[in-house]
Amino acid sequence: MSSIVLFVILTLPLTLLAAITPEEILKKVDDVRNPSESYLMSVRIKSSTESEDSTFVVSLKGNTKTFVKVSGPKKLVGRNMLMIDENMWVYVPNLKRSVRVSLSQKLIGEAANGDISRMRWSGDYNAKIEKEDKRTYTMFLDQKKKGLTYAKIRVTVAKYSFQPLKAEFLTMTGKVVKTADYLKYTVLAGKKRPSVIHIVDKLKASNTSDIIIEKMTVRKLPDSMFSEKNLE
Amino acid sequence: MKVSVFCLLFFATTLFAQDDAEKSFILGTRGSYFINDNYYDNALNFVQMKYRDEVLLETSILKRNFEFRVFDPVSTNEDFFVDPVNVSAELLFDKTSFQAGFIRYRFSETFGLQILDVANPRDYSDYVLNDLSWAKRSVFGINMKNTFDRLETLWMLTLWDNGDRLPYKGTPYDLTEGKFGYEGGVVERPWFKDYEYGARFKYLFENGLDMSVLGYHHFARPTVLSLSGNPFTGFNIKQRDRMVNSLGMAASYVLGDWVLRGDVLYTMKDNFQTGPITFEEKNHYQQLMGLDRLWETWSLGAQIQNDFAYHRNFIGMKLESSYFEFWKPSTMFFVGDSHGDQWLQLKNAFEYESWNVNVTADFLSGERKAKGLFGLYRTDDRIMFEVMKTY
Repeated sequence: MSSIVLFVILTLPLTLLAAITPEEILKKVDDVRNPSESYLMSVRIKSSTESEDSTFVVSLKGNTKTFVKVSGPKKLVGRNMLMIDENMWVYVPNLKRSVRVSLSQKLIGEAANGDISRMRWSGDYNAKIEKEDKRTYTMFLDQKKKGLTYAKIRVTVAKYSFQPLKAEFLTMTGKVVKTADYLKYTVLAGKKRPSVIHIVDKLKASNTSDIIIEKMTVRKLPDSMFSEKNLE
Repeated sequence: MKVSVFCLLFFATTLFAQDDAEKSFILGTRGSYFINDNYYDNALNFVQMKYRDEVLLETSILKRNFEFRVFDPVSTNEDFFVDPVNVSAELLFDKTSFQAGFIRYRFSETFGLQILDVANPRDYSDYVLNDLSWAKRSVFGINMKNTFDRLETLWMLTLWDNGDRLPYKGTPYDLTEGKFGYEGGVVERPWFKDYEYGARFKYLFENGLDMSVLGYHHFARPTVLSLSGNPFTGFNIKQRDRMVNSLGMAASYVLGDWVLRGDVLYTMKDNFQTGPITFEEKNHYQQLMGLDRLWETWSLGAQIQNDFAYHRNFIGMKLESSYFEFWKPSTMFFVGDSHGDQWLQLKNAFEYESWNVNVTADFLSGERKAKGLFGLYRTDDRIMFEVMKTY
């Protein structure tokens, strides 16, 4: 009897682990990348094709509301962005008006608008486990809705910690356009999270961009700040 | 009164200034060379100060804006004047926000001939100054915004309407040519009288269609002029003010890389300028449809516009490049189907460190008829120079 109990105790964690669904993995990955439902993030983008770094203050509420304030360099200041669901507006100081853009449009270098404004994958993508080994899951994510930053994503996730390690971003036809490495895990908002996302253009490997998350602060943000009126 | 409110807001802002605030101070000068008559006019010097910050409170965010300009018209006898661009405080709670102060409202994403922005008066002293960030004049009022999931409502009350700034007597865009006692300049309006008010309902549909409906009680804009008096007392040109009601609608929709947009405005018994010094009341229906595309270093906008009261139909196009960091050229072209109305604007914006130089050429043509638009100003082709230094 005691050997049966011991067997159950020893195998239970493995059984639980085996039972984890792709959606649950994705939610745990999102928890690694996002500290809470609502938070502020200071981001710096270093690009091989730009002479100056760009800096942003990103306010995120869930996966559907984001306000991006551009704080530098001077030529980009004022080019603030608002995301509501899959809709995005950018205020263009030259035009003195806000213009609607897509999440997949280029932000800086290899980084797309959605790379800093839409930080969660669960809810947006259908996930399946493509491959599994002792240390990692390779997940394949297929968009549930139109207008997302990437149509398909292949992401490698560390088992147990659910930390994303690397990703391939694919077009609808399955062509890899960019790759990303999730690097420099440091404590941000009380938990180890990737502080650098290194993006490489698959067509031109010398074109790279680093999305550096400098600071994360958990903060209750009012719904009323996510308004086009605040872009100007 | 205006000065005291202004100072109160200024001190409240500077007293609790934040380190991460957005601050700028600009010194500038502008003026135009009028090609047809070969002279330089409409010159003014200006100072622009901007301070903006956000204070994170326990359950809300306080946004403080203090942005104003002081203009000193150089080529006329007009007094210097202060334009409070955005001097306001805004308190944002979760679903509701309140704003009070000198405010400018924007209801549309269009360019060139904006029809829907009825809540603010404008500066018409440079008639072809279509850049609303310059031409729009703020009003003093309060507003409340509510957010209910995909619906956003905005309730606005204006306590001081402010007035249009009309071409100063004898300046290029003055159609009266300075006759009959016409003065021009800022149309004065009393405080706490003739309130303007309205509401906008904005809904973002799940398919991405962004639609808003606007109802507004406001002064008829632009301010019209008419001749009054008799041969015994003499004739005078007066600005005619009247409150009117407008209903408007705006929509935008993303289709692939293109953005489709449309605006509609219906104003009941609007003031309708029938000649340089005559006007009549008429229901006024205007609409426009446009599309935009933003590339990495280019932007393109095109629109069709109809004004059914004036029987004017326009096609407009704007192309702008941001390929070069130091030079941003743009071109805009409007052509009407009647009266030979045409407007071509070529703009070169140069940026070097803290210096900005803009050279804008406007060419206007058409018949000199009241129902025409650009033709009224066909002798006012100009090249405008603007130099700004930011500190």
